[in-house]
Amino acid sequence: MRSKEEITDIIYKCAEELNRQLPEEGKIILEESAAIVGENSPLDSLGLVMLLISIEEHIASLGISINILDIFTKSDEPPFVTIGDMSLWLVDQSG
Amino acid sequence: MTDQKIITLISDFNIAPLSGFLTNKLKHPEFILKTSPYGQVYQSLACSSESWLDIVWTSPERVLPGFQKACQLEEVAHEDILADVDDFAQRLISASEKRYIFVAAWQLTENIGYGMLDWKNGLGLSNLLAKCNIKLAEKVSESNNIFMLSTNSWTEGLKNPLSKKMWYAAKIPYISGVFENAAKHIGQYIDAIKGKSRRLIVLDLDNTLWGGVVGEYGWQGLRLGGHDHVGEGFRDFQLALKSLSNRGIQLAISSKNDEMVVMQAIDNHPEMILKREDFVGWRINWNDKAVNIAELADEINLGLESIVFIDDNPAERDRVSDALPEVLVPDWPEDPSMFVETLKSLCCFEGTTITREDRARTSLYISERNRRDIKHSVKNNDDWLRRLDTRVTARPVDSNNISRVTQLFNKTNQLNLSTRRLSEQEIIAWLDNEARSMMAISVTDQFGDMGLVGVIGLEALGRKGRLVDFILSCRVMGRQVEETLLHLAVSELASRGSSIMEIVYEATERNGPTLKVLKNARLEKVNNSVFRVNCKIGYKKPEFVKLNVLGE
Repeated sequence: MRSKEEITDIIYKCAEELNRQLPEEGKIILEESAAIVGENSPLDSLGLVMLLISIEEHIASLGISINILDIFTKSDEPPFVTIGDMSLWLVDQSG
Repeated sequence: MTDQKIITLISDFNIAPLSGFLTNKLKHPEFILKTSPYGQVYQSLACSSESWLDIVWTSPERVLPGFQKACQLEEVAHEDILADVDDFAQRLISASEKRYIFVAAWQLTENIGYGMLDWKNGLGLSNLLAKCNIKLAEKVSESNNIFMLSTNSWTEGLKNPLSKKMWYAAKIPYISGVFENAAKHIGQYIDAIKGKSRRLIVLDLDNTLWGGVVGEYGWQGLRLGGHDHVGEGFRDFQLALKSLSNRGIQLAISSKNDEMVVMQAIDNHPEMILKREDFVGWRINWNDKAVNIAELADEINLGLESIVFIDDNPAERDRVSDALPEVLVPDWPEDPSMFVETLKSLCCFEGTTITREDRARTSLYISERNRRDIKHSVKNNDDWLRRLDTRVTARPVDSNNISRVTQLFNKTNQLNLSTRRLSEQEIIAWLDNEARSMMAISVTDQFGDMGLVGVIGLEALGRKGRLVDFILSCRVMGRQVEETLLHLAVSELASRGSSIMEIVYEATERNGPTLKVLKNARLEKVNNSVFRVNCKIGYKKPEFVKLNVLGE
């Protein structure tokens, strides 16, 4: 099982990469409490898809193989809303 | 806002990431970025007439009907696909009549391919793709407004540039790093169109151009070339600088050293690629480098925003970037094996053309130094002007010289009457009026050919004629070419029926020398910025300058 810190760092790295192509007002705040899903998220659907795929590809380098986008789109309720939620969810999934 | 420029992204895939990166890169209200409807490449090319620049990035299998079949390894005549390329290129050429076009070279996306037969003529996909790109490049070269961009440099160095998952989920074929690289390069190309590229590299010497400290070890002790991995890094860096010099980027030296010791190294070290004649100037002394660089800029007549300063010493870099914020001072690695890559990554030396003048730029400045030396050795100015034997040739602006004329419009600051910054197509549009004419001015003297160095634009509106553009490179300033051009302008307008030539000076921060020329010339001064000449009386040509006017 990977640590939450390790996974949070990867999420921040992917968010930073994505932020470079987002407008100032649409950037993701790099805090665990920052929403990446739902009405408080600055991301549109394309932005969210790009973030999820990027995280999926990056965590694969840690040996974690999770089809995040697929699980997310099939869920009735989003499995995570904030960066912190997502880290915990990924830690759980990686176990 | 009339000066706003629309940039349209045209693609057959989802190009939103490029739009995002480019918006953040350009960050200027002058530019408005639009994205054409996804997949409608041909329709968008035909429609986006309000665009200043179209960026066209397509995949061969989607834009060329036959290429898709070839990718599925069906038997397809390559000639048929090349005919599709021809058609695509023709549409780009038609669109380029009104705007600039950047077209990305095609790349193969994932395919099964023919393996060891993939380069076989008439069969392989790699072979076909290369032919398509060459065909496209050859065809679009017919237009000066189309630039075919090398996409390899956008994917270079990235581990997995293609992302199948992103393609399936969002119709984006590449990872974001590819779009980020593309935006970086495209931003520089846009700067190049607007005449904002860097033109002079000022170099430190010790541990920058060679390894070691020449003042301590002598030139024999320097690490440069030879069977030495460090020395080879410095030698390759010099080779890269020499290549840029061949492209018209000038080199100069600013080094804290003893000039005599340095010149011995440059002249005698057998592995030195760069020789004295490769440098347009140098300041080798113990003075503040910021002062030295400002002096060099002044001597070479370049603005500080045209300069890049390369130095291994972070303290010197800090000092220069602090004192001269317009100068680009890149962080510089310590390891010489990284130098060429770092230089390349600056992406700031782009040019839309490479003219004869660009290639000869360094030798032109060296001739200029010789002229100045003669000036110091003669008794008076008239003797100097006589000895120079200056010959001015004027010819109409046409397709043979418009690239260089556009460059002068956008680069010349000091001797520039109105400082109109016009693109090639804007010049052509301005000339599409019988009352207007424009002449390209070339100058030679006994020291050599200075090339095309000036432009005059004229408008004959009935009795009153107007000198609209009076642009002259500072290289020929002060040797009566200015007055020769006034003579030429008055004669041209007189032949078109004008009885008065009016000159309206539009002041900028840097064109003060133009006002000085006008005030010193034999002109009727209407007010501080308007001058006149009676065309019937004419304007006397200077005695020591020969003028040759070539017709259309």
